[in-house]
Amino acid sequence: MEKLISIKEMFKHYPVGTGRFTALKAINLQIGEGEFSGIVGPSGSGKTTLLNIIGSLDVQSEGSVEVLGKDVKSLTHRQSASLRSEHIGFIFQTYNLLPVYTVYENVEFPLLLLDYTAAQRKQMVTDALQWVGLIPKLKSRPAQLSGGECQRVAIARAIVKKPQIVLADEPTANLDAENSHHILQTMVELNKKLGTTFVFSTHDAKVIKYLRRKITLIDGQIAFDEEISQ
Amino acid sequence: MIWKLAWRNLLGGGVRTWLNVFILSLVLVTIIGFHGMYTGWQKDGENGIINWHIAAGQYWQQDFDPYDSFSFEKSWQKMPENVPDADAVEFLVCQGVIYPRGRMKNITIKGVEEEQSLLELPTEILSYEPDRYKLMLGHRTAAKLKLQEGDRLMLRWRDSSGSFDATSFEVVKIFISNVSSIDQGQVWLGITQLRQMLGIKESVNYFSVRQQIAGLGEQWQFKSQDFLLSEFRALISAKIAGGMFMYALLTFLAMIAVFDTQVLALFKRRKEVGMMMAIGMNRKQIIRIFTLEGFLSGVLSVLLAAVWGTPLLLKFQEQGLHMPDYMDSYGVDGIIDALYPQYTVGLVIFTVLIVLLIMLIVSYIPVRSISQLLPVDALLGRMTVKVKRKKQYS
Repeated sequence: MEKLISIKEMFKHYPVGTGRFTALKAINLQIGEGEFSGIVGPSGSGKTTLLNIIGSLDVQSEGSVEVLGKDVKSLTHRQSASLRSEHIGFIFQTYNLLPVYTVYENVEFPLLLLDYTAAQRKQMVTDALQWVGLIPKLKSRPAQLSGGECQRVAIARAIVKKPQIVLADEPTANLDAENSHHILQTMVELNKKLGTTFVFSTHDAKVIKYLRRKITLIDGQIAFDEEISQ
Repeated sequence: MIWKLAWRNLLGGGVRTWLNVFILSLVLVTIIGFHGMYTGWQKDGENGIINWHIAAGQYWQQDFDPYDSFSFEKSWQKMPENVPDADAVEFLVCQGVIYPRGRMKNITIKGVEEEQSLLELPTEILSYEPDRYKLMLGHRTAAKLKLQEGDRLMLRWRDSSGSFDATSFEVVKIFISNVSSIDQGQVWLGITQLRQMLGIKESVNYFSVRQQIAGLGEQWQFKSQDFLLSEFRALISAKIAGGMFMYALLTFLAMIAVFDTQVLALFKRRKEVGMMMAIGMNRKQIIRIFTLEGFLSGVLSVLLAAVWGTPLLLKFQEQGLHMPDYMDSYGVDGIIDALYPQYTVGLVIFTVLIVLLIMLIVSYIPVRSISQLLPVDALLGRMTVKVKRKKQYS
């Protein structure tokens, strides 16, 4: 299995007063193509920080992080944006949908940054909305949707460009059990159908149940890294 | 792509967008309206001066100075012979004193050629009648002296031999003109009458012409329209300069208001900026999208201004802006009772460009700062953390 993410001896420090706080310590991690893995752990353990660094939204203080063969720290701002635009999809806990856009426009947004024709964009958005079951809502705005529906729009937006990696930060934190189950089922199907690599950050048992690999982070260190048979 | 996104964001902005757009359209219409008034004033004034007094220009006797009464007598000189009669209007000037209703007032007496078609000055009424002493004056002077047509008043003058003489004149005409400089402090006589009173023949101080005439010699100096209008233009320029200060203030206040709204909007939308970064927009694209958003609101304000401002400004242009009565007595050329604004294409284009430029600036400044946030900070809504790593985020 090809390694899409490779992290070696990675540290992340934050300045605190005159000293510093180490959020991630000596992280060594490899995630391969098509994995459905999760970084789990209690609040403040460094899950989101690790996910942000993998997604090149943040940078490590020490060590190396390679995503799709690219050293994240050495990328320029533009290269880093390009990496996210072409290869990485994000799903956030708070959905982060653009409130003035319709469902269709929110999902179409990442495609506008890439060189797709209008016809191609229309087809891709329709496919993505079909995967998440939101075709009837394509003209609605986020304010008119339920939390579950918003998260499904966020998933459609993350997968519409068929990225190699989807990073999902606490995707079910604001959802009830039924919605969480539905969304996770959708992601599992997409993982199987498209071969997209999913990396979650979560401490939700409902999510953990679906993972095929569980990386447990405690106090910024990987405590356990285990394969889970479904 | 950027245009599409900026347009979506702008229209999605709702009340905030329309408030900005309305304020800017207000600034736009106000500037065009005020400047149009000055332009209208200038054009009316210049046309009046040209049509009533200076025509295509004037020839002044070389010693003549309209502001120096001592020069009047010195500059009486015979009219040059090679000037076609139909192409010139002769003027003769001297000092005098009038006694309206028993009071005494120094005045400039101007003799003008009676038979002429070059100027709008109603000179025909002053045609020479041996036993009738006729004078004409402007409505401002008549109002000050409380004179009406048909009134009589005593006029005293000094002739070419230095003797003083006086006689009673009949006010045969009170003309209404927007040219104060042919009205204030002067009375008009037929030039034949005045020459007879002064005991001089064929002399003039200056004459207005239909076109410049060559070969009049050094004694006659041509004063072009530009020269003769320069004082009036300087007055308008001073007014415009004062107006500019007001426009600048108005524009600055609008700029601050829009800037404030933009900053607040961007502060509110910082997570949106973070999301855009996460999805893969680079800094330039983010700056472009938000700057363009501001620019498009400028375009909308131009359209809105065109919708409500055009009929309003055209109505002003048609009906004029009525001035209070005391304005007339200020003696300013170009105004009688109302100002008729005129809007030039140049003025409209210039003002529109200024508004668009302002929108570009006030949109660019705040977004430039926000685009320098790390994506992760923007996503968390943190505003204080600036670029941490020079290479990646510069």
